[in-house]
Amino acid sequence: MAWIERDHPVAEFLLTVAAGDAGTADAGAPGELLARAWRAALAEVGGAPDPGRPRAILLREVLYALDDAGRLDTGPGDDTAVPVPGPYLPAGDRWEGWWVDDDAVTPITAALRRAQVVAALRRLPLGLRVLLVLRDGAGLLPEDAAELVAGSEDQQDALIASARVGFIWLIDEQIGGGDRP
Amino acid sequence: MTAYWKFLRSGRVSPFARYPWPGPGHWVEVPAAVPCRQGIHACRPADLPYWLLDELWQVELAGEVVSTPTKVVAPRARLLARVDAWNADMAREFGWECVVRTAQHAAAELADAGLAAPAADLAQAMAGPPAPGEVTAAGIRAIQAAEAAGAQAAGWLSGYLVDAVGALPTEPVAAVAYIAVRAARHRSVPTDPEAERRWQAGWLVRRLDLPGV
Amino acid sequence: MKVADVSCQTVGGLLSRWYDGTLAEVEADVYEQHMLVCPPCQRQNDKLRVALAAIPAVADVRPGAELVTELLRYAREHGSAGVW
Repeated sequence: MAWIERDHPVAEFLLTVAAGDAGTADAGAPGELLARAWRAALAEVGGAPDPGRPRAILLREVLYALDDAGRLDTGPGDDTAVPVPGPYLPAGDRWEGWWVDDDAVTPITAALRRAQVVAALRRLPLGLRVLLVLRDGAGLLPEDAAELVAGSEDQQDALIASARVGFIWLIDEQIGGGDRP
Repeated sequence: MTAYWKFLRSGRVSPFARYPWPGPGHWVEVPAAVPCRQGIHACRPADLPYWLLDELWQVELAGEVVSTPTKVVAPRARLLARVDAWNADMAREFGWECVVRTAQHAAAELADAGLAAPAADLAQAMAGPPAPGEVTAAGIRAIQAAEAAGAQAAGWLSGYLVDAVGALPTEPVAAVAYIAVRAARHRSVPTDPEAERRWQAGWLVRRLDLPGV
Repeated sequence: MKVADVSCQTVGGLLSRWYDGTLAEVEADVYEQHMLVCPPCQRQNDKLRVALAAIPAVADVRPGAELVTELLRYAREHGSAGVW
């Protein structure tokens, strides 16, 4: 029981953010895709003398189940859709590369709600969204996450940086700070 | 015992990890002193201006103390006593001294560019008791004079002066100190890049009368 | 040179690795000293920590009893009950 209690929440969350709306498990309901992922993970972990990393295996099976069902949501497309910080002062200014506006970054002043986090994550391309959930939601190590997403472990620094920064700027849209120029 | 120092946020909170330090005398320990990963950061006197924050504490370090260019790192530390002299009033005084230094750098750059009148104007504005409004006005006049003469460095340094005065009431004192450093580094004549920080450290040690230094 | 004169744009590129604790010592000093002089970058730093902490915090849907029952049965039938 400990495994399901521990890892079901993050598996359900990964399913929610990686699936299109049609494939989203209702909050609190197991969902057939999730059950399928659990059965596959259980078979693999239970059948091996050294189960390795059960959480990574389960999350991989969640992604496989979504893919098999044709329900992976690719999101807004390529990485050009990821917001980047700024604007910064241009070359030739004595403060080149510094924020144009000291109020450019709005703080998060209240606890983020699930709907806000999910909505922001879904604005990221699928690969970055999944990587963010694997690394910062599930706490997987870079080498474990690299087995589940495109790109080598070496490339992951840049990918996770882009995902994290994009995410905090997309969060702004959810908390009302998204009307910056 | 070598004296070390540590800046904290108000309420004895560490700057980045937001760790709430226990009161004086209680040891805090981390497994190993690997700079920037594990370890307790502290300042030598020369490091102080790089890490300015709300509270300054004298700390005792134990275990292997690893030196890095602008801090030391140790596996164990405890707060000994707060340096009460470092308070909001002293921070304002230090901030103004940084404005004065910025003005000196700007005036020197203006003079080097042959803009003696704006340089004298700045010196005049700085001559009396602190008058931020007058200094800002003189700084803006100096920017205009430098732009008219095509003297970019003089314009930038005059701009840093205006920035420093503007930052005084609204930004952390660390920002004002940094602007002075930036002004010094942007002089058109070669300067020692660390000289401004050395001056700042000297001011702090002297004015705070730090024990053991 | 003890600490480079770096811009917000440059420091922004260090944010993620600072969060992971994987910056080299000099990079970490550059990053942290910049935070002390730049309130917007400090807010960005704080914001990253709060936003990333929210991901595991909102992943809070417990397994339903129906799923637990099914998986326990599945584990018994497939000889993998020991993994629980």
